[in-house]
Amino acid sequence: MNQITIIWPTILKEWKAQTMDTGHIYKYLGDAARSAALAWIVYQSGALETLAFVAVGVALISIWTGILTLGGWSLESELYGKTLDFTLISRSPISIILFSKNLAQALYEIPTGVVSFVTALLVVREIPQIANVASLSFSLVLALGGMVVIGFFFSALVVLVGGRAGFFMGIMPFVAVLSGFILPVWQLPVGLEVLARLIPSSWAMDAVWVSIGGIESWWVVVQSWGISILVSAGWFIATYYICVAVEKRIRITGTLSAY
Amino acid sequence: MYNFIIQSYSTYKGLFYWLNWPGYISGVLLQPFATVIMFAVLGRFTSNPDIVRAYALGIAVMGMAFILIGGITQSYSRERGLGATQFIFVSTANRLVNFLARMVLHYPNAALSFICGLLAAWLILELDFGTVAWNGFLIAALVLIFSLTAFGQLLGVLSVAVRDWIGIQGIANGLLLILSGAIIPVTAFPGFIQEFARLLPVTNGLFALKAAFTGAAFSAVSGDILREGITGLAYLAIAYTGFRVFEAWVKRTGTLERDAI
Repeated sequence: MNQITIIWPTILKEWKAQTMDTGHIYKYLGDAARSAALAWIVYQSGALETLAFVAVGVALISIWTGILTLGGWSLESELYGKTLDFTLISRSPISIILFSKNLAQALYEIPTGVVSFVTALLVVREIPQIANVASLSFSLVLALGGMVVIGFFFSALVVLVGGRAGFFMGIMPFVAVLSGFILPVWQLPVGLEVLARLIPSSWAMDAVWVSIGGIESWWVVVQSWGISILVSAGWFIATYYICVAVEKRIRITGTLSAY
Repeated sequence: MYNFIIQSYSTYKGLFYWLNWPGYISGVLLQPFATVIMFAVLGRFTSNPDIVRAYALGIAVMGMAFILIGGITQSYSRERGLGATQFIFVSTANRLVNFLARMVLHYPNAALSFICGLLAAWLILELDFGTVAWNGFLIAALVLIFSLTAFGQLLGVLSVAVRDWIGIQGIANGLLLILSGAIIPVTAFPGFIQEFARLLPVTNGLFALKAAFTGAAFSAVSGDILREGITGLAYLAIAYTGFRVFEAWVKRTGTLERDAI
C-alpha cells in the first residue's frame, strides 16, 4: 500500500510536468512520419497479411521511443536541475519513483501510439482483420508492461552513469526489434531470438501475432502471457535491487551529481 | 580565422550534449546500424528483402539528418538555456563568423554516420557497390551533408526561439523521411507536394546519390547536385537572417531570459 501512495502522486507529478504544448504535436507528427514510412514498405511489398501486426508494431515503437527519450530526458533534467536530490533525501525508495515515472510516461504516450496506428492504416488504405480483439488488448497491455520495466531498467542505468545524454539513441531501434515490434521474434536469426526472449514484450508480441491471425490453441496464448509476466517480474526485481544498491552507494558517497 | 576556430571548438565542445563516449558511439555509430537492421527485418517479415535494399541509401541519409539536426538544434537550445547566448549578444563578436562556427564540427559526424549506415547496408543487406560512380556519389554526399547542415542551422534558430529542440528535430526528421524520397518516392505525391519536396534539403541530393550509385556519370547528376547546393545556401541565408532577427527581437523586447518568445 505504501508503494501505491508513492506511485500515484508520481504519476500525477509527471502529468503536471507535462504540458500539452506544440512539442507534443511535433512528436505526434514525427512518429506518424516514421509509421507512414514503415507502413509504406509493407504496402509496397504487398504482404498485407502482416499489415495488422506492423500497424500495431509501429504504434508500440512510438510509445517505446517516447518512454525512452522523453523518460530519459525527464530524468536527465531532474539530475541536471537537482530535483532528484530531494527524491533521494525523502523516505520514498528511488526504485519506486523511477518505476512510476516510466509507468506515467508509458500512459501519456498512448495517444502517440494511436496516431501512429491510424497513420499506418491511412497509408495502406486497408482495415486490418483481427481475429480476437479481447486477447489482442490484453496482449498489448502486457507488451506495454514489458516496455515499462525495460524503461525502468534503463532509467536506473541513467542514474548509475549520471545521465549521459544520447546514450539511448542507438539502443532504441535494437530494443524495438528485439521486443518483436517489427516482426515476431521467432522469425529473427537464432542468435537474436535468444536475446529477444529476454525482453518481456517479445513474448507478449507472440500473443499479439496469434490474436491477430486466429487462436488455434489458447494454451499458446496463455503460455506467452505467463512468460511475459514472469520475465517482466524478473526485470522488475533485478532493477529494483540495482536501484537499492545504487541508492545506497549514492547516499554513502554523495555522488548523485558527481559521477 | 583564429576566432572562427576557437568558436567552432567551444560551441561544439560546450553545447553538444551527445559528446560523451556512450552518447557519441550510440548516436553516430550504433544508430545508423540499428536503423538499417530495423528496416532489414521488416523486409524479411514482408518476405521481400530486396525492397528494403532499394531504401538503403535513403535510410543512411536519414541517419545523417538525425545526427546533424539533433546536434545543431540542441546546441542552440542549450546555449540559451544555460544563459550563454546573452554573452554573445553583448559581445562585439562577428555574428556571421559566430553563426558559421556553430555548424562546422557537426559536419564530420554526419559523414561518419553516413559511412556507418552504408557499412551496415553492405553487411546486412548485401548492398552492391560494384557499379557506383564514385566521383558523383562522393560529391553528392558532401553537398547533401552541407545542405542538411544549413537546414539544421535554420532549425537551430527556430528551436532557440521556441525553446524546444526535441520537438523541432522530431518533426523535421519526420518531414524529411516522408517527403525527401528516402523511403516513399517523391513521384508518389501530388504535383504541388513534389514541388515542395524539391525545396527541401536531401530531395535533390538523394536523386543524384541514387543515380550515381547505379553508375550514372557526373554530368548526369550535376544538375541535382547543383540544386542541392543552392538549396543549402538558401537555407543558410534564411537561417542567418533569422539569427539576426532573433537577436534584434530579444534586445528590443528584453525577452532573452523569459519565455516571451
